[in-house]
Amino acid sequence: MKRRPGSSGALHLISTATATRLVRLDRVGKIPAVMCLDTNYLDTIGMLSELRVRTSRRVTGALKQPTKSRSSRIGWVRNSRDFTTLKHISAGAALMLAAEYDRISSVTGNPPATIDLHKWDASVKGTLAELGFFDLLRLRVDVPASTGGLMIEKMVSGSEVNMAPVNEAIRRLFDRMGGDPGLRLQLASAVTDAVENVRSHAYPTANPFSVPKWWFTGAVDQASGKLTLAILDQGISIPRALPMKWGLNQIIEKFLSDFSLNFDPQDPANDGQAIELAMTLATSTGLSFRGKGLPKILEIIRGCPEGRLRIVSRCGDYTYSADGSKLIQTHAVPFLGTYLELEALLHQAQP
Amino acid sequence: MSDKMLSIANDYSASPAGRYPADGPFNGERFRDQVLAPALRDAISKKQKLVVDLDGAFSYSSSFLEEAFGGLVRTGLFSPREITDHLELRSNDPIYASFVKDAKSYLRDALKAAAH
Repeated sequence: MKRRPGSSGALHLISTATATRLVRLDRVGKIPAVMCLDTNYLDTIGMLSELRVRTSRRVTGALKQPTKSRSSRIGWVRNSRDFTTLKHISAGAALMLAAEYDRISSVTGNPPATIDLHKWDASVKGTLAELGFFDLLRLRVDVPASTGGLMIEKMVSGSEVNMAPVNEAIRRLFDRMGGDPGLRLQLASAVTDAVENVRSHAYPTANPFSVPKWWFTGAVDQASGKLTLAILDQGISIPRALPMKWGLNQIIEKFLSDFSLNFDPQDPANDGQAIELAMTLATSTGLSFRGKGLPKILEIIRGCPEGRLRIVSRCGDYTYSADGSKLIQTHAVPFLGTYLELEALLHQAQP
Repeated sequence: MSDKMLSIANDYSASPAGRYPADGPFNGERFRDQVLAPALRDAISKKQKLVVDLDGAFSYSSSFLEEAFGGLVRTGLFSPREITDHLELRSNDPIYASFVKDAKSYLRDALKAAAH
């Protein structure tokens, strides 16, 4: 057999919606061992961004499908992803990954294949299965029900602000964990505000390689009682949407007065500050009856036990805690869209 | 005069969301124009008060509440006097109190803007 440069001659099992067979791999992409924004931000976002860029060019639209094999010859698969190295994935990172695969499926018409699914880490496979990741790939994967670990709701997505399925998912989490109905109402309302923001601002123009959708999931860490609700879009990002919503001159003036920084929507250097400005702009200007959603989310978080809001948008990373503390960061690697995560404690950890 | 009751959760949707019809099926503009305004018009004609009950919904968003109640003034469907005399917002369940407060503040802001 003639080996291709940069490839392994080993045989791997590829699973698609229609077939499972042995293949050889060419140019295998790396997946970090941990995909989590809290503990491995750069590798997680870097992998997702690279996946977006690589699958946003027409030439790569079909790369995830097996090459055609002639008769009994073993085919090659180019540019696959080795998920066997992944040992932990958080609910938020799982949602980001599933949204990328959903986008790839939508724009190419083919769900991506999986390689060596039987070798994937059981907890990773369980988290992704509960999220509905394998449904996107039209694969049936049976995994044992989660007991005592992360309880994750099946992903919900849409383009309109139709909140009934999201509210049902949140209700199920609260019913299963015995959460306070008042907290549920407040958090579900914050999620609704976030989805409305996606609808209003994330996708101002059509793009043939994107799907103008939002994705949602919710999860509870059963050991700690911590609830996570996550919403993401693959749109233009908050720093680029800001001047469209409020006017470039006003944003430049506010940036200068609030941060002593220059604002350029194309320059990600101050994206953390751009998100912070978006959180407060409606309140501070009082100019419009619109734009109350993000400040309202902050108000809701302030009333949640151990509440935390995190927004990642392009290179910006903004965290706001119920005690009023903030962490504003700008990373070197962009997330291509906006990710919003709400956290609260549903109940105290069991001794 | 007796009150006329309108429940957002029961008479419209338990998951109201969005501002405009393009946003989604249970948006604030549709609620205002197809449910709230006719009910308020009917209440005014019968010299009643329309009591809008916020209990029972799964969630409320600021855009929905603002468009439904602030928009009632902004669109000029009713005079400020008609609204203050004939519309009341309330909840019996305390978990909805903050949303009643928000809706009242959107109404108040719109009334202020209309007065200028």
